[in-house]
Amino acid sequence: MRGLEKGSPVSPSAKALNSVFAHLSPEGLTFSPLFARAGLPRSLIVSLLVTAVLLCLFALGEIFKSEGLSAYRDSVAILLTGSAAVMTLSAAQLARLNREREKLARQSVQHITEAARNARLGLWGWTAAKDRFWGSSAFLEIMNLQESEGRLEDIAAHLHPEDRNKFFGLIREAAQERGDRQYECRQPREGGVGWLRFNISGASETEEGQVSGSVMDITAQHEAQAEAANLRHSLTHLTRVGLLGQLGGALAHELKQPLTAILSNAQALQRLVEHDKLDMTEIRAVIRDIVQDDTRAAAVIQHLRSLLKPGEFHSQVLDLNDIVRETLELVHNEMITRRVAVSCASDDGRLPVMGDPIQLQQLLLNLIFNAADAMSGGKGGMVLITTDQIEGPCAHLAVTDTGEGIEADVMDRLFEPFISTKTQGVGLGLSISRAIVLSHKGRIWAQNNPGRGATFHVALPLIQEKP
Amino acid sequence: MIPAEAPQIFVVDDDPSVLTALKRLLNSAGFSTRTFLSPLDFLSAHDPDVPGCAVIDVGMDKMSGIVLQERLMLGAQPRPIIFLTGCDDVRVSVQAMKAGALDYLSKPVSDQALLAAVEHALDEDRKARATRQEVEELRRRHDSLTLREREVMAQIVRGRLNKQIAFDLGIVEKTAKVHRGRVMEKMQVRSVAALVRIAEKLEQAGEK
Repeated sequence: MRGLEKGSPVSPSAKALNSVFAHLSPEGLTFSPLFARAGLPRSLIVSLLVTAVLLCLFALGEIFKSEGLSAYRDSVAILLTGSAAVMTLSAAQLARLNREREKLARQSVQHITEAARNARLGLWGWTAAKDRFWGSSAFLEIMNLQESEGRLEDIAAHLHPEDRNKFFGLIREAAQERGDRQYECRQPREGGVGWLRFNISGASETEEGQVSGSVMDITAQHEAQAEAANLRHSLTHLTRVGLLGQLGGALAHELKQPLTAILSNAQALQRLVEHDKLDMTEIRAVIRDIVQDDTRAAAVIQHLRSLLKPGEFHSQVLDLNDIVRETLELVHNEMITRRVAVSCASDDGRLPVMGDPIQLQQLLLNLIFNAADAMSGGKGGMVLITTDQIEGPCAHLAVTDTGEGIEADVMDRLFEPFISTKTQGVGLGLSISRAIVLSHKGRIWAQNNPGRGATFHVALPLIQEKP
Repeated sequence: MIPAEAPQIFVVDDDPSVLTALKRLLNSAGFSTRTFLSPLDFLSAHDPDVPGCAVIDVGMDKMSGIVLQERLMLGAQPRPIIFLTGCDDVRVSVQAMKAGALDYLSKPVSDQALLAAVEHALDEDRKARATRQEVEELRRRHDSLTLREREVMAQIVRGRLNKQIAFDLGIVEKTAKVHRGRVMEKMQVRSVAALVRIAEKLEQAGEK
């Protein structure tokens, strides 16, 4: 899987952190405008002090200039000195207050940084104009970096080469446009590859060109997801092998037909040769048929192999009607033995869908066997398979049986694993069916028929075929 | 007697390539073969009077071999059947054998097995046809007897003497003797023992 951009929203807490750190500089602790604004303006303190000094000088000048102390001058000088003293004190007080505020702010930043570090959340920012990139200590740790500052390129150099361009693009885009973005990308590591998730917050209105965000190491999460997908895949494969077990007889028949033709043709030829009844036209025909039947047998084995093989999900454009046809050929003999009449009513046209042919065949096999099992009273029954086009636009497949129908208490849990009404069932068939349908972005549902039996429906999105 | 027609092998399989190959094999062994892709075609073209046997695939599309067999067995002249099967389903084979199939061969079938089975089936068919013909002939002879003669024949085969027969039927002994002579003549036998054997055959055939 390539690095992918997730549509999912960035978590609110990460967002809040990002906005706080948007205003932090690399050291994390020297202050940018937010905290200056939150405290008192330095100019006020300075002007207070300057005024106080001027007042003092003026008062002193008045005192020394006079030859004697007049009551008026005395009082003016005392007033001026007093004012200067009050101003000096206020200035000192204000400066102290400011220091405290700065200290508090510094502490809260430290707390946030610490919390982010504990959460293994790396924080970073980028100023587009200066191409200056900085990161918190957790960021450096995650990115395996020494320098806390650098250019965007230096950071990207630590990502997987194939993911770098996309990373550049997203960051630059964020410098222009507001909004949150998420990007999962790979990071080359010793003995493999790691996965990182970048949350990227775009520039705010006041600070254009300022991008900030967080990064998390999601390698373990990725591995768990891959493991779960693997397990699901194995399970799908195993149930398919199980299905083939049920089909065993029918598949053997498929293979034995061409083998019978080959053997009989070859032995006929043998006899003709032994008895010197050589008719070249006949011999050519026999040999041609042998070759043809051999090819046919090989095709059956190929088909069987593809069903048995735990292959990767392989999506391609296919016609749902083709899948129905091929699957019916596969179950044909088995259904005869079970005295189940299978009929098919479908549009003549194509129903193009995107999907894995093997998985869709497995889905249909599941549904047909399910229908046949619902009529296993020995009396046999009928299974009707229909395909058509429904709103969406979707290709619609319906498998209708004349069995016992679905009991009300099972109906809701029908597609859950380990729900089975069969005496020998494990109860995975329908849950696997649902998993297959979901992986094809489709829907599956079931309902009881007005008369007898039940119908299972599958809808898969139709695709536009290129003419 | 009409000269017996050459026996035919009727092959029924819905797989064209298997059908052709089987026909070639049987032809190469000198058999006269007719092939049918569908059981229904075979049934509609079927003439029970033509000697021979049928080689039928069990797992056919429109009508299974077993159903075809049931239809064939309904007639007065059952046709020996060899089944070919692609899947080794015990239930089906038991069903087939119970319904009177002569042989049940697994595909792919070797020439030896198939030809031996066909020989055997033709042999059975020949015997069955001979028996049916003989019984028919005997029945024809029996039908030529008058009612009185049939009564007398029934007495003879029970080992009764002319005197006893005459007494039972309320006729004179001399008349009984004449009837006995006619019966032996019409049934074309010289001894009472031979007449008894014919009576047994007719009785068996009548039961069938």
